[in-house]
Amino acid sequence: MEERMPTPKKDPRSDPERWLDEHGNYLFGYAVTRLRDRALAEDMVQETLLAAIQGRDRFEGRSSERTWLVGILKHKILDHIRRKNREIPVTEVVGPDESIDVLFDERGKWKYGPSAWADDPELSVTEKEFWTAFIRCLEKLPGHLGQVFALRELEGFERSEIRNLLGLTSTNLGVILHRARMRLRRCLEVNWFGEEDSGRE
Amino acid sequence: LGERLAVRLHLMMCRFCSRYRKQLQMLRVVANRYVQEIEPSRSLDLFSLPEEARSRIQRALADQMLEKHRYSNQEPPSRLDSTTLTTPSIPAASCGMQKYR
Repeated sequence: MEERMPTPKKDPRSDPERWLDEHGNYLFGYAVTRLRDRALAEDMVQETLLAAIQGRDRFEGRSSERTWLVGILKHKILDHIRRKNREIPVTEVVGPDESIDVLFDERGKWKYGPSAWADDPELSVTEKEFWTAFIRCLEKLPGHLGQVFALRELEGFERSEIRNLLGLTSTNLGVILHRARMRLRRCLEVNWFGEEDSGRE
Repeated sequence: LGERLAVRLHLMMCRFCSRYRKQLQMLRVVANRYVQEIEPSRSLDLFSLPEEARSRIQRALADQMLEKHRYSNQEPPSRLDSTTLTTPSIPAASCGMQKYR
């Protein structure tokens, strides 16, 4: 007698429910690191999935479902950045950054040197705690510093693309990026690698 | 030029300066590693959508599905008015902005 193949069990969830279950946390994390605003990131996830319902007839499965959803999310994030930049344009960065003052004394000499970080970054960067600290520090980057850093280092935008998107001069972009890196470095030093090297040079 | 040379000489001798510079460079490596390996990893669970937001989104999705279903069962509208206008949807295949390095 011919043995019947069991029919595969149909997923009782609707597609959007499944998207939320399977990709919700990922999309949320993606939006948090790019926008550094958790409430806004929640809204972005919602808008993305709503747009996905509208456009799902045209999803041809050429990419993975997750790639497709992230594609929509990226559009949403960029739209938001454009809109926000129209409302509050990036202003020229002037004056010293107080976050570096802590490193130098009034004569410009190192007050405390940067602590020696582990020579083996492999060890630390596999640990969940490290990435939690990294994300927390990313979220602490203020306004345009965080925005520019995320576009450059997470999204991989060229400098010229960021300049066009945010209407920045080349010098100003350089200053913002440098300040963002300095703050992130400092934050990781305090929260992960340990305090400064107390020895004078 | 002399000033630039002096700065370069200083940087060569300054232990803290070179350490500081290396650490700034390392941030690029770390960020890249995050995007390439950590973010796509399904095992780390670095983010969790808060329950309250999850239920809110679930409700919004259900409403939208209902709306879409209702609309698809209707006769095509004879004329456009504000109640029949739908929001333009994003093309599914246009997953542009693929900027991963």
